[in-house]
Amino acid sequence: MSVLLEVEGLSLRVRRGAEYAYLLERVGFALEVGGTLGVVGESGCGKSMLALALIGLLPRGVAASGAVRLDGTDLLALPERARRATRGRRIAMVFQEPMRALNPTQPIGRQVAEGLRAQLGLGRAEADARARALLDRVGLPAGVASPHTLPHRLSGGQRQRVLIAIALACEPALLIADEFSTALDMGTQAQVLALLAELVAERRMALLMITHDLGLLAQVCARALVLYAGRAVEAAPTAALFAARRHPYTEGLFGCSLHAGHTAPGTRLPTIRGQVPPPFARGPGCCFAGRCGRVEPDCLPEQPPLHAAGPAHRVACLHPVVTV
Amino acid sequence: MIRAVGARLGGMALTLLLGSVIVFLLLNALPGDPALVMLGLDATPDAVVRLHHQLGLDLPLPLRYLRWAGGLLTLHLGTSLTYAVPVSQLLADRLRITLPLAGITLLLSVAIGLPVGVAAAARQGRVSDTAIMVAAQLFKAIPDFWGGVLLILLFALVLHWLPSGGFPGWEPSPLAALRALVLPALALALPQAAILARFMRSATLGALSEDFVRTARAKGLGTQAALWRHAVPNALVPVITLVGIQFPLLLTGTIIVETVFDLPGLGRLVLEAIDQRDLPVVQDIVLLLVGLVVLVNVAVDLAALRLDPRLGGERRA
Amino acid sequence: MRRPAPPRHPSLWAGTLILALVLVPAALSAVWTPFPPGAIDIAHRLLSPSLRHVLGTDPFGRDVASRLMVATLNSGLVCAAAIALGGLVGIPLGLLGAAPGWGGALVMRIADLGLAFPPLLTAAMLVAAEGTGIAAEIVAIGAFNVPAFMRIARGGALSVLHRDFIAAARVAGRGRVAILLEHVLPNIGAILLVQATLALAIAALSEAGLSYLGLGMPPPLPSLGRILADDQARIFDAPLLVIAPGAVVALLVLGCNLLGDGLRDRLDPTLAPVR
Repeated sequence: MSVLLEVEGLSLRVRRGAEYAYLLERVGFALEVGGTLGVVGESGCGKSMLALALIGLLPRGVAASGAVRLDGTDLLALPERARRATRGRRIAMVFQEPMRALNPTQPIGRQVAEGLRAQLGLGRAEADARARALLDRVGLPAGVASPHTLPHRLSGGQRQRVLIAIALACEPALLIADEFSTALDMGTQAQVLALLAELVAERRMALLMITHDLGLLAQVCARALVLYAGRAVEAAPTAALFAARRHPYTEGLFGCSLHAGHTAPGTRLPTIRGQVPPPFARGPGCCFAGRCGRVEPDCLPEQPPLHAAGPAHRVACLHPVVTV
Repeated sequence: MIRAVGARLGGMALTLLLGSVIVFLLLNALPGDPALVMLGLDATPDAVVRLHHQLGLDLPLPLRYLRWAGGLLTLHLGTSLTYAVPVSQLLADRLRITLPLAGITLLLSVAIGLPVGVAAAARQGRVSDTAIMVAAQLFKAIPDFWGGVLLILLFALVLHWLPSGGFPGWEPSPLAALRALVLPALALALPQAAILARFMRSATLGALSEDFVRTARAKGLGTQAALWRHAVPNALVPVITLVGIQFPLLLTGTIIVETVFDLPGLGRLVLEAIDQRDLPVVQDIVLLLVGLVVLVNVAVDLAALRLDPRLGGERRA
Repeated sequence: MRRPAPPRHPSLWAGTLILALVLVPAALSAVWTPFPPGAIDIAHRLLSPSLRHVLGTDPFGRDVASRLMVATLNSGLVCAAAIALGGLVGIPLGLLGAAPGWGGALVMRIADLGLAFPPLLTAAMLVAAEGTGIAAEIVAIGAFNVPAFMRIARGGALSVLHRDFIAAARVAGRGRVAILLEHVLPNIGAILLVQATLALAIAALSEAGLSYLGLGMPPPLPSLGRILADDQARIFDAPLLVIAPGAVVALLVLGCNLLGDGLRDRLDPTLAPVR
């Protein structure tokens, strides 16, 4: 399969006074045409910043270096004009808060048609017709919502569907979903997730899903990338990861989430003690050392590099977990 | 929507009713006898009684209120004591200056304030943004009448571009009449525009940080398109409410500025009436202006509701 | 090395400085002015500024600087009294309005009503019925300030009342009024202070406008608006007579606005302009 997206040595840097800090540090991965990748980690690990860097909407003051190649073209090297032409058209994004990601003063049909007109140069009538069809496709047929409906009339799940329609409008090659549907209740979440998976498969789009929900990861993504404190600490096929975690942080993440359902009453739920160190308080060594139960003196002087830990499985740990 | 409109109209009627009671009580129930004031202290008791009867002052208070309010509802205003002409006729003459002045001022302040505020927001943190905000802070502090005097000094006395005051009337030449309104309107509009600009800037910045602006950018819209099509319409909602809050001060500002520029508008009429103790005129003008304020606020409410239908049901905070 | 941080609240300092510039001479006028503010001296009329008369003299030979000092004090006191009145009426009404039930509707109705009576209209009625007077001016400006204090007090009380420490105080057996005074007021004190400062700026504008029209404090008390109105005809030969009193009003308003904005940024960072 051909590679669609190739991220290499991507770093995001912010400045505070004379100090610099990295929100992301030399992160790299690849995604093939039609592939699915899940990026997991606690909040504050740089997941959302990664998404914004890919689509080119970083907040002011965040500088990106490295390379983000889409079909071989380095997006970071493109001037803003050319970069803009890729947004919506080649890379699209579904944002996390369906309640806030839609313009409350604009009818939903216009919000879907807007991208079609801006990126495909369609006329009003044609864009409106396509928007209508897209709303049908995402499960908002005429009886449920008209294109003239305003967002506040819709439920959270329906708004999430509108956001999917907006993202799919120009048939992008890559769809980024940031904390997709986590603001919805479980039942609705399952429905929109099924819809998204179906549409992605139908249009052979690649999907990069940012999530802290391991259940979502298992359901949707073939591969997983674990971010911790701005660094990639483990990368593996999802199935391999579920079978065996090598990085203590990943193990901790899975411990919090997987065993939560079947812990005997009275025992403490497993947690990772401490918090993700904020960007300006990160030392030179392994970023997880401060919270790690397996920390040794050699973890501290410098950051451990990613190395192979199995077929297509890489981990950045000097003392990886060995499952028996 | 229809329910919201009805609720606001009902609220407006209630406010007007309470307002008219307040106006009436302030001008009629306070100690002091207008007849004595009008006739002078050496008036004969007989003359006082006759004037009382003529003014209806011998009736009990509630009845006098009902007569006045009933007259208002049927558009029969009182009769001016000093001019001996119906108040409605006086008002019609004077409103031909005051209403256009207030209208031009409102348009000017919005036409200057909103674009400047958006421009400052789009340049947030840059030198031009700071310069705009400092200038707005300065303009906000200028009293209307002083600004008027300074404008006269500059444009009439130094540059000789515009008349320094007076009003030629609409009939001979509407253009000359408009020219006479330019400086007064500017004196009123500049501080208002400064207030609007500062508010519009912060509302636009607030809207720009919303998720839906990011959604728009992710569709492939440029910064300008995202700003004007998505951020600005949402920023307008609170700004429109501000226009309503500012309107009473703008309206009374026209009264002050009419004095500065010697315009024979409503302001001059009410000041003359106060001087002459012409209570029916004062009473009717004050209630008319109160009514105008209430009406504008309902209009503003409905405009905000149209822009942002989420506001339906609950009232502005 | 870290660079020294820029001043965190520049408008706070600028506002304090400007207000001091205007208010210190005004306060001084209570005990001392360069010349008696009312002393007529026709021989020295319309003098240009000099070391003796810093801002010159008016058509009656009175020292402009002395008169402005007294007028600023008069205007300032009227505004302060009006804001105090607005707060004393508005805050209790607002707290009352925080009671469940009809409170909210009542507050909104009174607020609408208050907003419909700008100071000039109230003053027009009071002066027409009773003649000019300091009390009339204070009431006219103060009444317009009631709604804002009412809304803030009610909003603040509503947001504080459902917090845990209120429930704790209630459980501890504290009465309603005691809870309002001990817990609610201190929590909305900061925002009320900001409101009072910003309202003072609008009050200064209103006061100047009223006295300019002759609806403010009665003569012979000097007030900034009337000094300007009296000397407006002198704009040809002595523009400073017109420029100076207006400039004092503008500085007063500017100072209050800067101070209010600065206080808001400092006391309540969540209200600071976004980013």
